[in-house]
Order: sequence, then C-alpha cells, then structure tokens
Amino acid sequence: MKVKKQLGLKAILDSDIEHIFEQLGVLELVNAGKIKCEFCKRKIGVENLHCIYIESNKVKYCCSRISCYDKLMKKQTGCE
Amino acid sequence: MASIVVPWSIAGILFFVVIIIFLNPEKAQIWSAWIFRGIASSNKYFARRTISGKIEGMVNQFAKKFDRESLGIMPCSLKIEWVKEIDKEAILKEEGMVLVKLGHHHDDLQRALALAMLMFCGESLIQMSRPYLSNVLVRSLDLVTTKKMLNESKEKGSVDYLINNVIKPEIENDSNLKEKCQNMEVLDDRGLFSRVLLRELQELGRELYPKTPLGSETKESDEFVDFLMQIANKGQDEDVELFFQENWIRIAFILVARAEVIAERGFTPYIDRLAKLQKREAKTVYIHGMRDNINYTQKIAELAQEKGLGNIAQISKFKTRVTSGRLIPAICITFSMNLSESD
Repeated sequence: MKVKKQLGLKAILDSDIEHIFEQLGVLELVNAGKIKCEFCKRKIGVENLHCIYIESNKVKYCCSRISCYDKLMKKQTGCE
Repeated sequence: MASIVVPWSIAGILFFVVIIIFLNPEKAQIWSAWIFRGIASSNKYFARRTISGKIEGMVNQFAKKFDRESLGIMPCSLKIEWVKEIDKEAILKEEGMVLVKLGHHHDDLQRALALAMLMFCGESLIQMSRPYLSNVLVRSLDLVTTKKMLNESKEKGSVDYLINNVIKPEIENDSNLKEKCQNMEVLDDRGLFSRVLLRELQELGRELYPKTPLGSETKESDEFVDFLMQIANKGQDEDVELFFQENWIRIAFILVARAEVIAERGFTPYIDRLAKLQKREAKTVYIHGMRDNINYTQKIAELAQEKGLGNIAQISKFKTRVTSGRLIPAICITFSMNLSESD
C-alpha cells in the first residue's frame, strides 16, 4: 500500500487570536496599532491578520492581502 | 416480528454508514463539517471541526482522485493542526513556521479553502520536479490545478475568490503567465494535463532530483508544453509532430483516429509504429482514441503488450472537449516501452 506524505497546516481559530496575541505579549501593541504587516506595513489587527510566522528568531505578521500572503509563500518556497 | 426487524434494519444502516466512511474518509469529513456547522458559532470545538472537516475533506478528496489520474503527481494529504496555546520562547526556535488564522463563517471558509488548496498545490504537486521548471510554468500549474480542485469541489465562492484575488491580479501583470495558464486549461480540456504533462514532468523530477538545475531542463519542459499544445490544437486531418525526443523527455503519441486504417489493414500499422518508436527509444507512448475507436485503442495496447513491446501502465477513460466545444468520450493508455528489448 502506498504511503502518502502528510502536509501539516498549522492553524489558529479566529476567535483565539486575541488570546494568542496575549501569549505573544503583543496584544497592547496590536491595540495601539504598532504591529505592522511585514510586507505592506499596514497595521495588523485581529480582523485583518492572516498569519503569524517565524523568521530569524522573530515573530512576524502577515495581513489578509493576498499579495502579502503570496510574498510570504514565495519566500517560504524559495521562489522569490 | 417488528421488534426484530427494527434493530436489524438500524444495524444494517449503521453497517452501511461505517462501510461508506471506511471507503470514503474524505467524504465523511465533508459531511461532518456540514453537521457541525450549525453549532460552530457557539462552540470552538465544533468551529474547528467544521473548518478541518471541510478543508481537509475537500483537499484530500481531490488529491486522491488527481493522484489516481497519474500516479505520484500529488502524493500528499493535508492535516490541519490547531494551535490553541503558544509558548513564545519555544516557537521562536521553529524557524519558518507559519500559523494561519482560520474562521468558520461562510466567507472566511471560502477564502481559507482557496488559500489552503493553493498552499497544498505549492507543496505537493510534482514536488521533485519544481527546481527544474521555470517559475512561470510552476505558477501556472499551481493556479490551474487549484482552480480545477475548487471547481470540482463545487465551491463557487472559493473559485470566485481565487479568480478575482489571485489569478486576475497576477495575469494582468504577466502576459507570459496568462498565456501559460490558458495553455494549461486547453491541455486540461483535452485530457492531456494530468495524464501526460504532469506525469512527464513528474518523471523528469524523478530522473533529475537532486542534481543541480542547469537550465536546459527548464527549456526542455517549456518546449514540451509547446509540443503538447500542437497536439491539443490539431485539426482533424492536420498532421503534427507526435514524437518528442529530447534529453530527458522522450515520449510519443499514437492517435487511433482513422477507422478506415483498421478496416483495411487491421492493427498492424499501429503495432509497427510502436515497434519503430521502441527502436527510437521512446520511453512512453500515449495511445489515444475517441468515441468508436475506444475499444480498438484498448485492443492495440493489449496486442502490443502481448508482443512484448511494453506494458500498459495506465488506462484512463474520460470526456475530452474537442475544438468545437463538445465533450466526447475518450481513452488515453499510458504504454511504458520495453527498451531493453530494442536494438
């Protein structure tokens, strides 16, 4: 029987986002509009966050603009 | 009597449901997503189950079907891992980790499904071959496959999201990508996308990986797309090149299209052509027939196998769209040539 490789997609439920920001110690910064999207530099909030990622030992944020997520995906797959 | 009949009928239904779940776990995931959707708003557990059920079910159902069209082109399944708590110090060590926000409301889910499928394609479709293909070709394969996945899943909202937010903005800025996407769709309509193009690109990766990409294989794969496009756009009596003979990709087509040839000379011309292709070291021959020629096509492949010319690797029966736009039944037999027997 052929064994399929399993790809994992790590996910956070939208209603858990505030709790996750709290655990990362950035909830106040998010509320103050000081956390920005790594790609378009737009302010990140609970509504427009698309994903959180780790790069160079830092927590970074990507907004819900598809162009920003696409840049992140290209970065991740080395197809920049 | 009734007290015996009722429990047995319930047991029968339960047994039937268990069998269906066992045979179609992806479908069961989609059904569970429907069941849990109603209570997802008030309960996080059910919200997670709704999202996981829908996304995993749809992606894995398509991946299984697609991988069956050409073995090994999408050999993965998707699993959503929910993160509920974060240890900041620990996650900082997980370089490259991405945590995606997912919601269970209709629009969030449609969007999440489109993006999850695009991500899944990017990581699972012909994985070993990607370093040897041009970025434009890879992107067109991902976009067209994702659209095909969503369309076959009948997720109109996700298809619209993908077209309006991903495909349109990208092709507006890149005419080369636009042309490649259009070509992939033509090949898909003719039944050549997964069965021939992706299969051969997958084989290319299997041969080359992990060698350093030189660039010549990129050129070869782009030329291979052009070769397939000539066949896809061929008119009924038009002659086009049917043998692609390069460094890595060496494949040919036999089109069983003329019933009068079989009526006059039987299968001999086709077997002779296969023997010639064996001498010219074609690795794979795709024997293709439509409508009334489907049975003849199958018989030619079986006869060639009996004669030791090679082996039938796969038989695909499907509907192909002809240039007039009509869908007609067709067959494509992947015939792996026995090259050790040739001169």
